[in-house]
Amino acid sequence: MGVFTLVYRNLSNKPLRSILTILSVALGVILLLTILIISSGLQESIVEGPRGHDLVIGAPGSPTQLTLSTLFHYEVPSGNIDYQVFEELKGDERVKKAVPMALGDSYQGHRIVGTDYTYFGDDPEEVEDLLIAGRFIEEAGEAVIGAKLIRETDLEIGSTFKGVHGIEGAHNGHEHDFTYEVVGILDEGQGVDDRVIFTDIESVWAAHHVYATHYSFFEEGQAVIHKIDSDACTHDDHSHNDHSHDDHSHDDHSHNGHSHDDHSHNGHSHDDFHYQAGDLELTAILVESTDIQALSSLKNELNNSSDYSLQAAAVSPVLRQLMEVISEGTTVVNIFAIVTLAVALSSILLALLSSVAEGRSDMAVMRMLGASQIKVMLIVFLEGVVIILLGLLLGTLGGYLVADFVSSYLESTTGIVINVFRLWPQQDILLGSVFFIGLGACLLPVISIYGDEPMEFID
Amino acid sequence: MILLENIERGYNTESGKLTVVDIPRLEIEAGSQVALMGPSGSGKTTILNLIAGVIMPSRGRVRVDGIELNDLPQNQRDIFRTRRVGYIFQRLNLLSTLTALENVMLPMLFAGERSKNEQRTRAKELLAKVNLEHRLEHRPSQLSQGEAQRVAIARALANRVKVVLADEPTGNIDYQTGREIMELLREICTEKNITLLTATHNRELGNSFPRLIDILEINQALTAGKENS
Repeated sequence: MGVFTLVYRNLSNKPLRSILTILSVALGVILLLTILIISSGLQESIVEGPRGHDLVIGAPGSPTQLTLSTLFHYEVPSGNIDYQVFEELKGDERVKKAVPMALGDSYQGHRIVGTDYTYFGDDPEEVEDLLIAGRFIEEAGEAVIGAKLIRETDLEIGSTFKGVHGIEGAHNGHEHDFTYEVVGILDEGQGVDDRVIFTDIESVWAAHHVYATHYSFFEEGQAVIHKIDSDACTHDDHSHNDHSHDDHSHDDHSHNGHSHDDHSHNGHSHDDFHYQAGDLELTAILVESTDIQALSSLKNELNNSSDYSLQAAAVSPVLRQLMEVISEGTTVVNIFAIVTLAVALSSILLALLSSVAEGRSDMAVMRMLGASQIKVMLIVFLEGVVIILLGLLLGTLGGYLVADFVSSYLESTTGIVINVFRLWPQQDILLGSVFFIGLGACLLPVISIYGDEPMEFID
Repeated sequence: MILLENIERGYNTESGKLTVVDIPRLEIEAGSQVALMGPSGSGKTTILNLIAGVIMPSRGRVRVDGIELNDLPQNQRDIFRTRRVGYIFQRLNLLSTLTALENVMLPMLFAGERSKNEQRTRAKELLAKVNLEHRLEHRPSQLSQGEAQRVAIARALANRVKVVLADEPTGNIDYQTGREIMELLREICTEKNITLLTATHNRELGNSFPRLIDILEINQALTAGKENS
């Protein structure tokens, strides 16, 4: 028999009290840890989300909505902007990098995002390293999927699928007849991109029956439209794969009985072989400016532009505003959690005091049998330590599980991904603080038995 | 051998210091069996506690098995007590959360001289000695008074002690059971040459011992009605 047998027997002698005390500690830890994980995870996602982009350009509307929809794939984009803006930005000396984004469709609730390699990095070879399987997009109709789609959809390399119009969820819009083929899978850990399907801009346009060339995933160039099907939604019988963009003739196709010659778009005649780039649209453009002055000047210029209907939102203020909201919420919940933990630690104190009061006779017997005062105090102290450690263990497990539940909810509603199951900054400080404050709570009952005369407590 | 010399022990009360024990000299031979006879409140338990090193005298010296307790700090007296003295209480005072076996193992845990297996083996042997081999895993609440007292005897002998101090060991049990238990205790102490000092107010029990010390005769605090303020 060892000291821990005595500790165990003392705790198991009052199982309900012991369990309630342990649970109260665990509850406090669950609250604190969940708050820590979720708030840290949100901040990390928000901080890491922009990938160095400092300006988002999109249709007029809420800057927050534009930023969230573009950077975090959350909320519906406010509309489209003229593709010509992108061409002009590429030539602007204040712009270090401009990334085109074309959204609008989804597959089983996962957004289909048209972009090019610059979304992922500056160097095409470096970008390839982000894949765990397959390759990046080489031609229209190819798609790379985020790692979580492997688990959440039936997609894998070689799968083909068709996008659904709309990005709010699966099957709430009509299905396009444009077919994508999965050619690569992103490595996990890409944050919000883990649940996104990436393709090139050309494919998104093609899915909406705007056929343009010279804009592939790895090659920049002036986009030129070949053809626009104005009655896009009724085109069920052709697929993008049927087309060879370089050699097909507009006159080869007839769609549901109407001819393209019947239509004119923005003043352009379909008799022209190529449409103008001005007929093309993007959902947003991510811009990395050369410096802060360039950013400011660019933002002001774009927001005051009379040539285009658009808005330019600086990423930092929007994110700062978001962080403030999160921070305020976190503070309120933290206060609640700390109060809960204080109650929990008080319950340890009361449980041990009660245990000491009830067990004084037993302690006196132990002293009479030769147990040193330190050993008897140690037994009481260890009772408290066991309660704290079990509370911390349960609380940590519970905290991770609750945080995982909350993060799943956040992911499903906001698209923000938090990889819960890892060590978090300040987690050691948090758990260590609870442990040492708990030890402090154990000291009072321990000190209370110091100097007890055994004979006073023996019948 | 136990030697108490020029001992005085008192307590502070609201009305001043109360001397409960004042003994010029008390000597008990090693291996002997002695009854310490006297009414309640006559200082019997205080004398046992002085011999066990639980309390220290205000004056005088206590020597047990050649060890001067006055010279020992408290932690050393704790070690002395666990290794050399077995204590049997009037109310048994078995730990209610432990089984009979674990109660007997408890002094061995505090002595720290045996491995867990050795503790278990020794405790089983002792419980068999007091005819409780069938009650090893029973809690005190599941034992009769007589059985619990036999567990207490086994516990007192756990550490191969030199002295057993029994404070009214039959005070809470019926006459017949009390007699049987005392016979068992004395038999074991004889067999192992352990000094047995039993405090009792039961004259019949006292008379059954080879030596009977009447505390009224040796405790001058009682005879003089000594009270200092």
